[in-house]
Amino acid sequence: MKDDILRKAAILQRDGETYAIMVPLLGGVMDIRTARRIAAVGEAYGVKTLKITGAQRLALMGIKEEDIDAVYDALGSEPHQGTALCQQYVKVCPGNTFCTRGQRDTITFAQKLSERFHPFPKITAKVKIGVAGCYNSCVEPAIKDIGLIGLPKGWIVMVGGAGGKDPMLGEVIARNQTDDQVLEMMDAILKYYRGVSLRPQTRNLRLGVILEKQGLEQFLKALGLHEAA
Amino acid sequence: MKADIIEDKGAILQSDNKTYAIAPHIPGGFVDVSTFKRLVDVAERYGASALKLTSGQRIAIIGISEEDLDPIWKDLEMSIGYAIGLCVRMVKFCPGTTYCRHGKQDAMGLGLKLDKLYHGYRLPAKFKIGVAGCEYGCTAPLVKEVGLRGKPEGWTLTVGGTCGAKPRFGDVIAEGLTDADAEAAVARVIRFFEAGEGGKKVRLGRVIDKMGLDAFKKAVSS
Repeated sequence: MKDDILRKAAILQRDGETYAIMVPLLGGVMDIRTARRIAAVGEAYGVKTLKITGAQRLALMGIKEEDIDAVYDALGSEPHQGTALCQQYVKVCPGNTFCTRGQRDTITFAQKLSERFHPFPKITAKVKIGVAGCYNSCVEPAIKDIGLIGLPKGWIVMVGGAGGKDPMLGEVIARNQTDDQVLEMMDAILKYYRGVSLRPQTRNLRLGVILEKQGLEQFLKALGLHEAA
Repeated sequence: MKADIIEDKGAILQSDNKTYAIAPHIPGGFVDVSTFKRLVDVAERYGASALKLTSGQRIAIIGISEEDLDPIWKDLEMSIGYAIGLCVRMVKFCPGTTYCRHGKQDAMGLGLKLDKLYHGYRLPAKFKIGVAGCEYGCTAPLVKEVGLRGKPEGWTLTVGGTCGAKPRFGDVIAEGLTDADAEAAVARVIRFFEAGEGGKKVRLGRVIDKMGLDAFKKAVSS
């Protein structure tokens, strides 16, 4: 019986035969050359369909098991453990790089946080991150484990959102933060999340559920943040 | 001053205040490799600065000059994705039972149908539809005006979700729906909203909050 191959971030499809893998593209942005390469790889390995997912990822669907390694090679990338099945992703809007509504540079910031944190090791629960450059929230930060909204004065940081079986809106824990402040805060949040996700009682729980159990105050204290926004 | 959006060309002014982005319609984000290739070729021909996969499961072609908008659409041979304006912005759907092992309902089938019926459909305010084949909800149906989540016993319909400055989860108004039931229920919700009682630019969630969920349910019950 075949199953997902998590170490290769390959997702078994319903046919029980073929796999889908994600092309690593930060924030879903690609230049023409990269796009060309993806098309060529798709063609070479008999991929019929590409899917732009809800997480702004590009899935190559219908890959044979024996081709998975070669496909990654041809794409010039490696599988990132933990990125299959939408366990971990960073979703980013066009920000002020492209969008006239954008109030912050989401793409550069996402680059920084991806380099530092993505994928974040040893958290078995999901880690979904959304970086939005304005209140319109096209990447839905309010339903991400960590959601950011960029405003002229700085970032709003939200934690504990989820949009699936146990939907929760994220809680605002800080406002007017600089890039560096947010990165430090995320470092603390993710380490805390990893800690609780390794404990048997809280294993695999989403950040929002953990927050609900422990209370926001204790969570903020654990992060060294005393004042809720 | 350039126009912020050119609705009939599906063009959105970029932050350089010079060029535009367009986003061809790609139902559910499913695109075959040959279409993708043509899109890339055309984007290159018109000097696109980047492509971006969007939250609406589209591929935005960024950095197109205004005079190229007509020819690029002609070369793309694709229809406009309504990423802008007061209309049904998108019908987002997941691979459902067609591809995904978690799928409980045929999200692609229903999603495509709703897409055909409503994508770009003019309404008093921005309106989003999300269809997910299981409760994981990878298309975030709970923060869409109309959200459908597949359970083994049928579709759960939520209404009035939104995720902006004041996020709000959709309210469940029906469960255990068949594909046909779901389609009919969505039609009733859209007809009601179309009548425009809430006023221009007021999103469905606010309309429901104002009139009360019970009254809303009654209004769309038949």
